[in-house]
Amino acid sequence: MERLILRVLRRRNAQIGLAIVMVFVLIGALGPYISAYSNPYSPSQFYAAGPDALPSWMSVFPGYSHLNPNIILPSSQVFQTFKTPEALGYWKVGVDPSSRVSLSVGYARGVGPADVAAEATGAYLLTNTGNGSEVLSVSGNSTNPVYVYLTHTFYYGYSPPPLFYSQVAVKPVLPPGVGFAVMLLVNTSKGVYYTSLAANAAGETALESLPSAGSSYAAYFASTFSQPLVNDSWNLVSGVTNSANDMPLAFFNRSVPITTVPQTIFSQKGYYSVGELLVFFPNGDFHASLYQSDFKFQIFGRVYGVLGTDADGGDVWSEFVSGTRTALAIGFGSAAIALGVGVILGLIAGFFAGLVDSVLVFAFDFLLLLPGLILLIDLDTVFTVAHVVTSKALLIILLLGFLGWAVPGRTVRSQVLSLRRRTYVEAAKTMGGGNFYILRNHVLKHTTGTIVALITYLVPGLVVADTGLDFLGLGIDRYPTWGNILAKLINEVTPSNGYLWWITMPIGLSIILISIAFYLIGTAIQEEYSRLG
Amino acid sequence: MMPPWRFIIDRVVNRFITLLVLTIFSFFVFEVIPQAIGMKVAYIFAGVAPGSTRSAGSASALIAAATRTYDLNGPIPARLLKFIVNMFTGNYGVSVFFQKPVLQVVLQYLPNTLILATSSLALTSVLSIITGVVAAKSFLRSRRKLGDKSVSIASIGLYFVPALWISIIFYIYFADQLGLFPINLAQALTGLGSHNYTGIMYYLRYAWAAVLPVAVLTITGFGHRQQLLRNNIIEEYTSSSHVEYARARGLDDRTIFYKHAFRNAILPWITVVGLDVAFLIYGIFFVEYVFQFQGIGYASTLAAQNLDMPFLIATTFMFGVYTLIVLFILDFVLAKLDPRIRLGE
Repeated sequence: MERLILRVLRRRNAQIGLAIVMVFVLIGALGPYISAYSNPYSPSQFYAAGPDALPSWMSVFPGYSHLNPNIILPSSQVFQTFKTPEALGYWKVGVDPSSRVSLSVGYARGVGPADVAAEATGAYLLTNTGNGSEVLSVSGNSTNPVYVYLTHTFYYGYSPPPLFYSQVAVKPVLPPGVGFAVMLLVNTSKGVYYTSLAANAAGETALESLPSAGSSYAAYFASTFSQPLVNDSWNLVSGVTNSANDMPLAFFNRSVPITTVPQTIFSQKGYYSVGELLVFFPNGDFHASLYQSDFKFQIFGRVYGVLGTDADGGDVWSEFVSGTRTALAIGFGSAAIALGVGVILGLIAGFFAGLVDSVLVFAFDFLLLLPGLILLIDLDTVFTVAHVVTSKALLIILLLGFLGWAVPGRTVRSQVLSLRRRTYVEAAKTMGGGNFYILRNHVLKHTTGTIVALITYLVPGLVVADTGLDFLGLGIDRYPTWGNILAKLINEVTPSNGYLWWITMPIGLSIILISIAFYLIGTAIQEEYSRLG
Repeated sequence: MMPPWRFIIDRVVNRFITLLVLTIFSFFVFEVIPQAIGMKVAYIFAGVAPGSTRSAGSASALIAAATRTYDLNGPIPARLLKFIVNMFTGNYGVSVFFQKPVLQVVLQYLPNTLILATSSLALTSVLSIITGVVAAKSFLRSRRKLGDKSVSIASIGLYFVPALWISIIFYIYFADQLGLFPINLAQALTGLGSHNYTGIMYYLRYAWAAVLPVAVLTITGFGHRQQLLRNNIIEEYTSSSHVEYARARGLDDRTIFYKHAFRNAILPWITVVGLDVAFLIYGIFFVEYVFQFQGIGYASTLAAQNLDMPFLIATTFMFGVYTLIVLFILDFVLAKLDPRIRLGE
């Protein structure tokens, strides 16, 4: 046996095949360490970048260098969450000179957005509960609105992006009756665009009574998505340009469809400022302070990661890694079951001729003649509804395993039949060797090569079977397996979103490579085995 | 030695027992096991989901009707007998998903599948014979064997390409992005509801929609048959004794190649064609689903997604019957062609 393995390993074919299999096993085993997202199909992990983004290495090619990557401002999470006092320096703070109030900016080390609550809508959402925030204190005497702004200027040198997101977590501490509003904005050469907006009850009333834009404010605050800010508590203010509900631009600039807002804002290369406008509506003497954290702007990339994104902006590399893990687990798991059952039954059938053999041969033929895919679909459907097994992956492993033992069973049986007539088995029998002894020491030993070759024959077929089942929507659901990735792709492909080769090619080539690798190993084993005799 | 009629009867009995076991097996899978593990089978047979929007009265009436029709509370031996009789007499009940008798649904969807199956089968057969002969001739006659190498690499390579994936690639590239072919059968036949094609136009547009599915089935199907034929021809031509004898008789090379080597090499090829006919349906499932070509595979997938038990029971049985009939015909054809099989050797 050791000699066989060594000789097989010395063959070039087997080496190539093993190397390919090892690469896939490594990808599967290292899965969580080499991919950023555990399940890009759950809505909280959507929009790692813009939808259908190309792989980021594509921007090396001249025709694709105008596509923007993810641009996140501030770029480090330490700065976004104000985990360090240096984060204050990122923003240029100013106060409207006509309002004659005093403004002080400080760092609140012990205060953090502990109770900020938000629906997980995508990977872009940032919530942290750690301590650290910026505190702005405004005091003075005024009856006119007081404007405080924070801005950061950057250069945007790409073609227009697909999506834009902005968020801030604020905790206003206001005296009673003082209105307050917070607006996140992008300042461009063409004007200021508001991308997030929230106000407390008094602030809403004050904004709605503005002569110029009052009705737009009224329309925005009337939407159920917009909740008034709660005093002395953390509030998340956010807006994303794929949702008209929480995007003030959809209410203020109705001539621009919501989906083209990012294209309108970033229509050309040049300098842009992102920032925040705080509006206080005091009525005389007042002192207000505002804590803020989780302050972030994101321009979603048209290029992203190793393999780009899918239609929901999910990271395709993470999907591919998860899919590889599942495919290998199901391939090897069900092959182990099929092989275990098949080898035992094949040994029994071959060794104990007569009625046992006839019954088992009928069972092998029965399974081979059955409409396998139909039966697989039937059993899968029935047992899924019945919730027999909690994990769908485990159910598929069991089903594929228990439907797949006919081929190994028959192969082992015919092998055993020919071994039974060999002289050394006859000799062992004459010398009083028990059935079990002969099975273990003579028959099993000489069928090992066949069994190993059977693994290489079974695994690729089972991987393809699982991929097909998932593709038809009858396998694992809400998780990126190879079949599900292809199914999602075929459901969401439109004439406009391109060939999506970064989704189809990795999966197709993986299936082909795995099939070829196992074929190479299998033929190497069989050739060496027949040479050894 | 077995007389020919014994051989046929033997096979008929064997295949019939297999079918009977399949029927009993599916009775247990669809009715007994789900009931034993506490599923409300009547709900599924009646098409009533637990959270259904139907009014309670009509739902319970449907459940009562399904319980009566399928005798779900009766003793198991009586039910099994009824199940078997129903299957063998074509009494498949009403499909829950399609809201029509199962047989009617099957007959409605079957023609599309038959067209895909027969045309791709004919194409793969012709293609594999031509390329097999070309490759074998190139191997035997040409010094550099370029023809054999290129054809063999193509067919072995295509053997590893999953039909599912190549369907998706064809669909995205040729139908969706380039728009050379319709994105589904309905679009081809009605132009998304705006046209009502008749006569020759109808058939032309139908053929237009069938191009990609047939192409996928042909590409993924011909490789292993081509290799088989090539290998057999080469083996027969180089090492069989009757070719030696024909050569000794002074027959010309062309006659030896076609009358002796090719004729004997085609026998295993026919076996494989027969097996492909019997199991062809699996590739068709994915192809029909991707190209939304409304055949029996497409219908079965929809039925499985929507838990249409009567339909799944019926198709399981029908596919079993189909496979066994094809295999029986194959036995018969091979026995006719090769006396060694008939004589039980």
